[in-house]
Amino acid sequence: MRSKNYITIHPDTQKSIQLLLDSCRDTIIEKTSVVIQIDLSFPYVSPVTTNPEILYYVIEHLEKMGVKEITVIGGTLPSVNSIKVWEMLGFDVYISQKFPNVRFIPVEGNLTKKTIYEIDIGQIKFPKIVEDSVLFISIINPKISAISDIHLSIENSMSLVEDYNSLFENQINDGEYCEKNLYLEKYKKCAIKIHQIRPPDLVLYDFSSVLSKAGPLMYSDSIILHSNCLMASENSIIGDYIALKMLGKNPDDNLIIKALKNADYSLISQGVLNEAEVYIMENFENKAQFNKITSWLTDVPNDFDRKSSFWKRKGLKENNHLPIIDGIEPFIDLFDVFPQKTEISKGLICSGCKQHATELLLLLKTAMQKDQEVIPSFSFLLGKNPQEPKNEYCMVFGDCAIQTTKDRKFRKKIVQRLAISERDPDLERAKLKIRLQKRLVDLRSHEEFINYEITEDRIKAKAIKKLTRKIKRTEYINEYRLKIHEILSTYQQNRVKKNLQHQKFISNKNILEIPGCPPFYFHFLKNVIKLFRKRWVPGLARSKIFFELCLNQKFPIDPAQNLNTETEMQK
Amino acid sequence: MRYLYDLIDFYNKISQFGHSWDTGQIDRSFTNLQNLQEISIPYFDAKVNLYHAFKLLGKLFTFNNEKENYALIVYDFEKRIILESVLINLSDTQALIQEVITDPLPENLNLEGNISLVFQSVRKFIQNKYAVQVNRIKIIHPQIFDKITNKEYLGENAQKLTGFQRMVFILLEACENNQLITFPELPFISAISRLVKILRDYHHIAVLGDLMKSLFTPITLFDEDWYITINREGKHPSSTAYIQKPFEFGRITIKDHYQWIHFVKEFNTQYSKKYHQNASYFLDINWCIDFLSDVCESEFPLTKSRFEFLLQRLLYFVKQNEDLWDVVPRPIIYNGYVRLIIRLCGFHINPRKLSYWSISSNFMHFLRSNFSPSSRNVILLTKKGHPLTGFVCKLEGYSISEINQLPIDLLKFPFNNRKELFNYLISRFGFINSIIQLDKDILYRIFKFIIIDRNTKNPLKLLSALFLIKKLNNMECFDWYPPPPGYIIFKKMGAVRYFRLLNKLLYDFLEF
Repeated sequence: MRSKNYITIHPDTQKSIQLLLDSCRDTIIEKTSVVIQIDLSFPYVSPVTTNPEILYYVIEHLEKMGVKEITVIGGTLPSVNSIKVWEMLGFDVYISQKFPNVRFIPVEGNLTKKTIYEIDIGQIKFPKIVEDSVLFISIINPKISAISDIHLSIENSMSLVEDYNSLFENQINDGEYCEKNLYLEKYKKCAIKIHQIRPPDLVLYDFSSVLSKAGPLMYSDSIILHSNCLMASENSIIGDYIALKMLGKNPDDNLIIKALKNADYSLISQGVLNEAEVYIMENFENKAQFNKITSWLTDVPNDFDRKSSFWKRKGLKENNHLPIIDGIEPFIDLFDVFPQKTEISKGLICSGCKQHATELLLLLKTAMQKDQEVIPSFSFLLGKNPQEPKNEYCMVFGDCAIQTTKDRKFRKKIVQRLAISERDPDLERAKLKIRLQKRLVDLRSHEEFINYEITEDRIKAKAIKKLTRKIKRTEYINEYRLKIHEILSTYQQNRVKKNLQHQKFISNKNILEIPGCPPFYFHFLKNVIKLFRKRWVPGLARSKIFFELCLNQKFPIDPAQNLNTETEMQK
Repeated sequence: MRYLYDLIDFYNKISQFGHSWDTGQIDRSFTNLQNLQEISIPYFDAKVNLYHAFKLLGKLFTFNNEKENYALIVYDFEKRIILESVLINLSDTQALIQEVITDPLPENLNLEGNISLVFQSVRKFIQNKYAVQVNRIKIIHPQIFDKITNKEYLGENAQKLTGFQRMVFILLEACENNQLITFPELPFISAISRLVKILRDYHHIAVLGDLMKSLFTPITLFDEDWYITINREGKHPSSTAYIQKPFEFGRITIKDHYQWIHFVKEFNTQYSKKYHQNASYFLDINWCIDFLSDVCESEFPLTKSRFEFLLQRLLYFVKQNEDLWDVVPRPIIYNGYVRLIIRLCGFHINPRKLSYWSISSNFMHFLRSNFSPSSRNVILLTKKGHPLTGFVCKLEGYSISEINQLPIDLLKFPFNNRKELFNYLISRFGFINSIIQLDKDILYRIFKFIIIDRNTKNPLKLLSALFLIKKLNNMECFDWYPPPPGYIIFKKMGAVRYFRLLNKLLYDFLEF
């Protein structure tokens, strides 16, 4: 399987795109209709979404090469409206004004049936226009992701299926979902299967801005790296392999490429890699970058039959060396996101919950930068059987955590001060005993005092109220004092045991449950605001308005989703 | 000694004064220092008390971080001759200058080629001859001195520009034409050379010069013992007196923990009745020097952490009223009762509790999510819908890399049709990300409110801010095309409501 890959490093994007598309002329020529896939995951500028400048120049050059019908399709995150994102980022203005023949199509897809272990391709509705397209081009921005280290073209094809997140959800409440980490297996299978429905004919990798450390959206922890590099590949799998090398990663450590090498798919092998052709620009202005590229490329004799001598052909080495883009940091750890205000207690978790939980915390951290001075510290529970939280305010993330923490202590709050009507009856009884014994000492003899039994009937009868004579005997008083001391000491020893049984509890209302397996965090921002009270979180309230603009629906208003604990407590 | 005569005379007088100051021969009482002789600052039409000149030069050396000796060379690049040279030997004690040596270098010394080799050759020569180690050289073209002395330079523009603006233009030209070279490089000069690259045509600064003229207020920079006030020459529209001297010096008599309050009162009684100015500002000179040196020393393009650091420093300065700066008359917004009434109206304003740490991070997030890493934006200044000027700004990361002025032909384009304008701009300048339109009058009024009108004693004038903010709803005054998500929210909510929401993010929640 021969594949040609072209790498350019040039400050002028228009020139570099012209070079790349001219070199891939064999794939484009004589094709009158083209479908271009772009990334419209969220209304943030590149590297979260595609750079409109690149799309503009691609369309311009394709029209010059004779393409007449161009359609653009944008992949988004689940529950995000791609039409709104297209308009909010200004693509409407950039492209449809100058190129009126270009049409934009939002993502359409429906999931009719779900199974746990296998997904039939016939049950996923892939956009037909892409499936039947003559030429399919995809423009990709490499981004960091929690599951696979870097999000490239193979995973990008999933965004063409609407609400693809539901493909990996555990809706049948299978107990082994978490223990066997079935989310990850499903993810890999889905990504590869959807990609194989219609792999792109040409892939453009935009390395001008790369998102690292925190993604796929723009967070406060995320780092953007810049370069002037662009790459075009005729085979998306080998293009991904080379892109990982360019970013300094070992492709053999990548989950999806490992899966592709397995016997199930066997799409990558050493023979395939040996046939890969890499072309780099002949005249490099920056020698340092030239040296970096050539460190993982071998020299090949000039036996290609291309007429232009602009490109220099190279082959791939086995080992990695210097990357073109330095400084890509791995995805931030869950415990390092928000350590000042959160206490994370985790049990057995799968990669789905881990991914969504880190993204939720990153989102809260960026939105609540100002609110951190006021909100109380809260605990974040996820996974099966998490540890007991130390804080009153809690967020319980995922179905596993909700089910395993139903009867836990943190769901109840101990009330320390009781009302007069709810006082401890044992204490009152002991006080009555002391009062009665005082009067007994005054009125009766020593023998009668020792033998006198204080029973409940006698207390109730209030027989001693009528006795009024006083007898002062110092001996009796001393014994009386010792006895009182005994009664009180036994009472205090028993009090600790009895307190736990007869103490008053109320349900802890400062708990937020986020159901789902795994839950998608976009829907729960409003409930987080309710948890912390609106006037304490103005930053989060402002970001909520922003989210409501781009989602398909407004946030769910039904508050019953969060107060399940109260109904269970009442039962 | 045609070019450097004034400078050498100035340095000699200061070195004499510095030696006698260091050894204690001078009486440091207030009356004696006030009556010292006045000397003229070279290349400026100003005369200054000797003591104040001594202190000013000390501050200049700290700004440039000059603690070592340096050689000043006037070199004719075409004829390759050293015309004049001066070696300045600085001292470690309180006396700033140890010695001034004239013409230490011969005419024929070769200054061509690699600047580091030139520096080493000059260093060797002076070490062998004078036993002095030189740690910096400054090479200047004689044309610069001719431009400064010739007041008719810059032709038509000279009449519009003030003396300060003329000097700025001469400096920018010198850096652009490589007529001013220093090795090792001074951060100030490298910052100016960067500015020159950004402002391709820096003559369009004069457009904004009119704006700044009417907003100029007298500024006093104060140190422990002394202060300097910078005032605009001529007659200010609101003043009764004619200001002859641009610089005025004074000495602080009371040294106290509350010297701010005493000093401001003193100044107010002396000068405000004389000049009847609307506002006058007082700044700590040491902080200003620190901040400017931080800005000059930072590497371009700015990184995220560096930009955040500089912004936080600036906001911290704004927060520290009565500590690092002050203004007369006292703004009414610092009064608790006024703030209470404003709070009841729904606006939470407390300038003493500006949350500098969160504003910078929120602003960075706003920049990163609305401006792509390398974007080109057009800024149009209009008046009642008709265009006056325009600039094309190229952003790279967190700093501006280019500013080009739009040609005059383009201003005749019909601005009502945004779509055609957008396509036209793309065809002329390449891909453009957005067009931002601002009304010049509104801009002027906003700056005027921040600098002057905010400092009134009349609380009703604060209402004018509300009306100003409301005007931003109008598309003629402020528009952004194509609108980013942040601007869409702004339009939906309205300017006043958006400002009320932002208020909660600007100030600390915990006030006590």
